[in-house]
Amino acid sequence: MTALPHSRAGRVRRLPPTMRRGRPLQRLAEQAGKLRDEGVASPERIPRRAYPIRLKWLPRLGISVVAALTMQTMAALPTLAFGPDTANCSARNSHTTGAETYVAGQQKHGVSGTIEGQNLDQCTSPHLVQTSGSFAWSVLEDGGTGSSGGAVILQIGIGKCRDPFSFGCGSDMRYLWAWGRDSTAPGCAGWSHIDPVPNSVGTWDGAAHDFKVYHQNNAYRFFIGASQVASVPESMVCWTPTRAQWFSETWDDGDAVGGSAGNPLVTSSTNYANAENGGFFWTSLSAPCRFAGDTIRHCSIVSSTSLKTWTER
Amino acid sequence: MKPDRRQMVGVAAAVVALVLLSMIKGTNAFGSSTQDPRLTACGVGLNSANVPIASFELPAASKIWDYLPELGISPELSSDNNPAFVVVFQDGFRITVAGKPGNSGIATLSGVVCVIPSNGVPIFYSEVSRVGFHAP
Repeated sequence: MTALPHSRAGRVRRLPPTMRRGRPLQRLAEQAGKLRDEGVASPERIPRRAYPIRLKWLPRLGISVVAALTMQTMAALPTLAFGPDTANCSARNSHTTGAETYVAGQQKHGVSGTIEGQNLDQCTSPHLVQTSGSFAWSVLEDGGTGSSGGAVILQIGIGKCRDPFSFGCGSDMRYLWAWGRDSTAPGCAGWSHIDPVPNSVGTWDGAAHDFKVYHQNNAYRFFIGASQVASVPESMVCWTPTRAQWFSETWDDGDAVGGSAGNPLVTSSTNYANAENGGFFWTSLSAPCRFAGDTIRHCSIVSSTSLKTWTER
Repeated sequence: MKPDRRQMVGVAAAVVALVLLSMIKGTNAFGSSTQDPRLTACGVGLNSANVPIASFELPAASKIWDYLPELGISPELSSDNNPAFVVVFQDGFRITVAGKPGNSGIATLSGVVCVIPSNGVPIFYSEVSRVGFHAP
């Protein structure tokens, strides 16, 4: 005896209407393909009756989620296998790279640089939980003292980032500023520790602007052009800025530092101040622009007051 | 009247999507809209790692050492006699930080205390010992 189609555990299911009416699935599929070719219907608009069995939506949804997660993992494999990519997001969240130059020598009370208004590149095909971003900053810092190194900083600039752990990101270009202090930095023993959480300020207009941190009238003030957008009282800063610095950085292997080879991101008119309320001096950049990371991201001194950063992509 | 199957599937799919979303974001998808916005500003619900131990208001920010005696020197609070809102987090708090390359990106922090002073801009303190901590 031949079992009835779609029978299970002795239960006989009703045949779907398409089969009961004797309309072969092959014919329906051809019909749908023809309609699609003619631009009349998209696959999503194929009549539901074309499906041979009842919708078992929940298992299908589960399978879809598993498939999506599998595809996400598969998408990460080439990056993991072949090293830095310059397009797709990698699975290595928070693998930061950067390119920088700086002026040191004595205490610094101001840093300024004109960062061009370039829409920075951010990796594509993000994973479910993805941290990525590309930034360019004008920075006052202390040269990396303290156990957390980069937390001892006052910075303002531009960036585009995404991540579920941030307040300042939104996958769009933004002006950002941040500051921090580290209880292990010289001068900060016994102080509380503050990490440089980026704060978004203003609306990016796509134009070049001067980004400046300036120790002026008992506060470290953050400027975009002539406008002060934030400040930190000097009483809150226990460490001593000794470097005026300009750098670009990324948070993911798939992000591009700066611009591209054909259109690098240029920071120009770099200058710094050696005294509170003091005047600014033009830099005489000559030292190599340092890069920490890999061989596809670059930094170059263009002139005594400008540098460019870019990524081969 | 029996509900249409497509409606039921739609509702069920929406519920599943909400649950999945809450798993990804670590939030209570059903209750997040009623959360105190100050908690949100401090990162509660930003991801599943940010679990508050306590939150409370202070009549003056400068009183914080009465409850967190091990918080280090913080002139921004000691000189502030305006009300403040405080959230104390479990270790493992996650947030992205700026800073220099190599130190930026996702940071997993311990001893995080978020303080929102009267200007409304949260300050995140980390590595704060909770020895002697008690909520008012």
